[in-house]
Amino acid sequence: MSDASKEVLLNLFFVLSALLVVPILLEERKVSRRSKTVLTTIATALSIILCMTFPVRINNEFIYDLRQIPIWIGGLYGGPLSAFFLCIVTITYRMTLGGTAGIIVTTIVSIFQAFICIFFSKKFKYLSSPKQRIFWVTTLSTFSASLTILIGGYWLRYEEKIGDMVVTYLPAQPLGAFLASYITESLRRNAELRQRVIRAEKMEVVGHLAASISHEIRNPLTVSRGFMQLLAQSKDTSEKNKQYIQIAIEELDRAEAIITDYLTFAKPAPEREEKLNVKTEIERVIDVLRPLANMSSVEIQTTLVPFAIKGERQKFQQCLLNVMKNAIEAMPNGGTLYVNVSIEKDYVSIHIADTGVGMTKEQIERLGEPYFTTKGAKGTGLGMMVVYRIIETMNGIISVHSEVDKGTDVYIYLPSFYADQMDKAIIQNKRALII
Amino acid sequence: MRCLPDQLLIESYHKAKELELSPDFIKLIELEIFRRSLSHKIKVSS
Repeated sequence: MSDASKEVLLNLFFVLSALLVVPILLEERKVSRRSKTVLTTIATALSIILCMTFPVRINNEFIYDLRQIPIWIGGLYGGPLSAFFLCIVTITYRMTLGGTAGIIVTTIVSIFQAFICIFFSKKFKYLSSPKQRIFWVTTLSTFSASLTILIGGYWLRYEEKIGDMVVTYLPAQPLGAFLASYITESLRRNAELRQRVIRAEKMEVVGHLAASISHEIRNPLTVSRGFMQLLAQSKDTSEKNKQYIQIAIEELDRAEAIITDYLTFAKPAPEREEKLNVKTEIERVIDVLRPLANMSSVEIQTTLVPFAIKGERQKFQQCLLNVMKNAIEAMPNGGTLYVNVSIEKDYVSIHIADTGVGMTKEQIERLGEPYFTTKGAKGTGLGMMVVYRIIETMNGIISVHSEVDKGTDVYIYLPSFYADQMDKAIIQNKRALII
Repeated sequence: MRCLPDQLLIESYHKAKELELSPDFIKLIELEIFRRSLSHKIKVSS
């Protein structure tokens, strides 16, 4: 193996190590996303320095390295701040190495990379598929390699080196970028899958726990309620005491209702499905919540349309109640709760928005996880989990967008009753044809 | 319910039946009566 090939592999090793080290080290530890980004950026900066310290020597006049790959990966995945930091590190370190032409090329290309990363990283993160992200990293690397050749070869008049550059540098950089982005995507996918598995396992544990605990709690509640009723009927009980007993009975009923509601996740399959009028159901839930809204000076604005969906009434109401209650509780100093219903293709869309305290990205990501709550000791961490489970069983989709101190938007998409009926009709027709 | 004296338990059972209280509650009292081997008392009286 030639020395140049060894050096290319060494450069590639630096690049890939930076990408692998942080996820492996932090695999089992609970670290915030920001800390992860900071550590990844530092590791990437180190790999840039190492790439420049041990470059690939084609001949005495032409030396290159793969520093542009970590800048692209770090900048695009890490965001504008990482891109800016990596650009500064690259230029500063390159200046210490000397050579006017090299410094000029590095400065121009690094600023170009940082500029693209700063403006493109947000869009890049939301690209729908990993393939698209890999494509963009590879394409941008090809482009920056071409730009380097163009500036170094033509503008700075190093024409005699262009041949070497095109043959060695131009293919090495996109190939390295492809490999690096492919590995980054694989790591991200694995991390996501692991999180999903952990979440599913938690759900299962909670489900079993809820199913087994519910009876244990229900029995003492039933006994307490029964004896309270006996006491209320007694001749020796004064009217005042009877009132106290009535309150106690009502509270016991509420406790039992809560158990019933939270048991939803123990029985994921819908039991009594029927045609539901979205408008009527929302109105019922709003009626229940109005006292709570008034207490917090929350105004409720609605645009309701009587679209039909299929599902279990109690569970659907529970789902709406949990979302709207959260929205009201997010506005302790007052605000507006918006509830809008519309139709999008075959889905009925329910948009519930508040002008409350909002949530961070980390909180949104953990939403629906059992026992995760943003309400501190007041919350159980079960409400949104029930919501997610109900929407799932109704074949719906839930999407949450939020901004801290601005508010939260919850979009619930549920299959329209008529679309569902049409699907069934199509299936029946197909069966008829087969028969 | 375990602290309740036998006599009071039987009395509660009859009262609950009379007032048509929750069937779950009556069932739980019945279970306690069976556990204490007092079922003959409610059968005789009913």
